[in-house]
Amino acid sequence: MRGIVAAAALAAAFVGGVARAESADAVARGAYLLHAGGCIACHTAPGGAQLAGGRAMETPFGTFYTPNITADVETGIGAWSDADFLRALREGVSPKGEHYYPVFPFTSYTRATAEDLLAIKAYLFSLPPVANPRKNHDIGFPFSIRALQAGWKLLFFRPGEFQPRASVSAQVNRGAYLVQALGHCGECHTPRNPAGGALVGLAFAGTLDGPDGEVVPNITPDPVTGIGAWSVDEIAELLSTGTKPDFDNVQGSMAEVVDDGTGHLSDEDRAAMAAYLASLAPVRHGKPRGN
Amino acid sequence: MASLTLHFSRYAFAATLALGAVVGTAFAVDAGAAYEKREAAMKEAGGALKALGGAAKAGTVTPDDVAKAQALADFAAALPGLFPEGTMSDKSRALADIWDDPGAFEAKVKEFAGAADTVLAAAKSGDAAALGAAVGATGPTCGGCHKMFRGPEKN
Repeated sequence: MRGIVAAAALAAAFVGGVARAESADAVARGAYLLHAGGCIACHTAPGGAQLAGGRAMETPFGTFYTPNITADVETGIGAWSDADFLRALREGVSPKGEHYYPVFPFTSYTRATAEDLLAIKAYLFSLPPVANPRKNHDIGFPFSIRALQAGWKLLFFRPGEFQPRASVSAQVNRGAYLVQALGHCGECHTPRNPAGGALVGLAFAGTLDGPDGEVVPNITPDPVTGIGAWSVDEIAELLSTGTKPDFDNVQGSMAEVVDDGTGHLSDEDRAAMAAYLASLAPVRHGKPRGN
Repeated sequence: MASLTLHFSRYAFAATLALGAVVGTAFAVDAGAAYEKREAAMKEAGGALKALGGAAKAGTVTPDDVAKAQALADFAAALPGLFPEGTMSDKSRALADIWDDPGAFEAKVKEFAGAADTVLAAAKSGDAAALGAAVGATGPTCGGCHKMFRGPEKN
């Protein structure tokens, strides 16, 4: 009898060990992908615990407060299943069935692979949970009616995973995935219509109505209003250190993107993002940029 | 004589007033002009650095490059004077911390000035590799200061 118990315990330990080894790999990938996803900046309040939320996001529709995405069961996402997590990120629906506002970029994360998103979840669940209750959004009517988000989604939300294009290189496809899905660059760099839907024809062409009232530049390769004068290396350098070709650096929201996000990626991934941006069709939109 | 003295002192008084007005105008802070001046100077410095980076890559350092490096070092020395107090404006992205925390601002300017001096020394030596390294080390000192003291572009 004792022998059987010992054998069972050994078997259990072995199975457990394999499971842990697999999840350890996912956790490490998730730590990296968290930077690619740019999750930290928005889900961390100034001076607050990392990823515990509470940051105010000023938008033309009102002020949103980001939620706690640590694994705290009461105030965070500790009770979420993998399916809950995927539904939240790819469909913009909470485990309770509520629609998220598109200030949360599920409109981009819907392009991410389940494998990548679950790696991010594994990493989030490997961190110590932090209790931090969510703050209610302060937004005006009619945007305050959450149920209307269902209509918004019908009009403006195109769910679906990123599909690589056979006509472009593997590098450009990798860059497109990072820019469109995890990096969610278009959420700020693509202008929106008055209802907050992305103006697809002006993808990445910049807007005067960025987060916190910031001007968001055109990052298509238009030589006059975009970054057509920049080399691929110069774009990658900006993603790495925040330095622009004129030796100014990015400020405001983009400085956070670099500090918490793209600055932590591999040179290879940054080069892929730069190659993809340089491959876009130039769009003339906005005022001429001096450099 | 008494009346002459009186006349003189009247003129002196008027002259003093006039001089005061001139000096006052010269010293009054023109936020718009200060902004234009530093914006142009920053652009020129960025252009010089970019050109020097190009020279380093090309592997040849010309007398023109040395002049650019000199201009960069001069700019660094003149930098604190480009930010007179009270020159924040709607156009300017200069942050109040420049004047609220002058010690921190001076420290950042000093880092940049040190890097610019190294660029000048490298340019004078004609060593393209050293110039490239010096230019590379200067970039982060631009950003280091902008990060703390320059705000994002607002609409």
